[in-house]
Amino acid sequence: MTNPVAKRDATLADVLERVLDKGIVIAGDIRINLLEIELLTVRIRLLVASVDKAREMGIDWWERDPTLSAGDRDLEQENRQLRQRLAELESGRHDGHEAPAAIDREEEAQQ
Amino acid sequence: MNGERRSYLYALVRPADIAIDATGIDAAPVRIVSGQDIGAVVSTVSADTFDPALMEDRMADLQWVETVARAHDDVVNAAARVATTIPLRLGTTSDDDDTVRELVTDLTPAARRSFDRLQGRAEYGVQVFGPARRATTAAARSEGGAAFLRRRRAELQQDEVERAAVAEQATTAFDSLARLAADSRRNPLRDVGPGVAGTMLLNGAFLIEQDEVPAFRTAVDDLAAAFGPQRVVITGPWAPYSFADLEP
Repeated sequence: MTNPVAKRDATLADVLERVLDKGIVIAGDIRINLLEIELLTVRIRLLVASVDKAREMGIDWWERDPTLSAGDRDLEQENRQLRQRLAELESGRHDGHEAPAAIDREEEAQQ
Repeated sequence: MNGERRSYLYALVRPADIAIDATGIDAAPVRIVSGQDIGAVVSTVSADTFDPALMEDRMADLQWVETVARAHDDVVNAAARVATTIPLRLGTTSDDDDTVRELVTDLTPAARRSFDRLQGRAEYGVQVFGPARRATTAAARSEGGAAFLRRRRAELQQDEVERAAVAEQATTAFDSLARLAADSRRNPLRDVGPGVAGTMLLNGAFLIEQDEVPAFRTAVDDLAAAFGPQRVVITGPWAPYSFADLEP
């Protein structure tokens, strides 16, 4: 039986996570030039520069970075909006309010 | 383009009398600048390479970033194979070796104790993946209207429930591995790399005593058996990136 653990070489994302985010920063006469750019800026610039290439390499963690974008927050928001919209539609039907015509028509067409 | 040179620092090491089996950034040879027992792993770079004025454009060039990051990491990990190693942040440079020598000579006693804490230990990464997030299906999108809204809401709620359950499993998994580790961290989750389908649930870093490595690997195997094939990924040994500090 094969070992179910995937032992793999470090992806570029694994490496960048460590060399950009970890490792100590020393001061004094030693210069850390990357500090001149906030790491977030780096990620954004990377994203802008070459998003397809980045995806190929598995570097798309910014898509999950809550401070940067996207994924979770959008879905949560979508869920909230859906809940609200549905509540509006259902209450509209029950108390006789007009729900937006386009949506009503679509639904009737389904029935 | 003034031909100026700077000393690029990869890591601090103890002991200092070691040989590093790796080439540095721009394929430069790597040397040790030592102050007594502690040394800095250094190579010479052109001042242009890390010119602050050019960094923004350089960092936007993914090819350049990868080349430099891999070179940095190769040297750091090569050092960690032969000495206790404190990795430095990518892009650390100094005017010259004299400045570096001052740094390694003037380390505080507490900073020296960081080496004691890391000695004989290596970092391993363990990532656990769950099922991929459900996307809106084309069929669902075409049905439109309230039926679609209702179904989509149900899907998302179901996703949330499933994700909460696996997130809890991930925490349990982390705790079980952390018990075998000298130290442990949960790093931020990120999107998955190629070859593994799913959502990252755990991005753990574990500092493992040499003698504990077999037990740790066994524990990771057990996790993989519990989570299913290809849901658990181990990387390492790494230099202790996630555990290095030089607290005063």
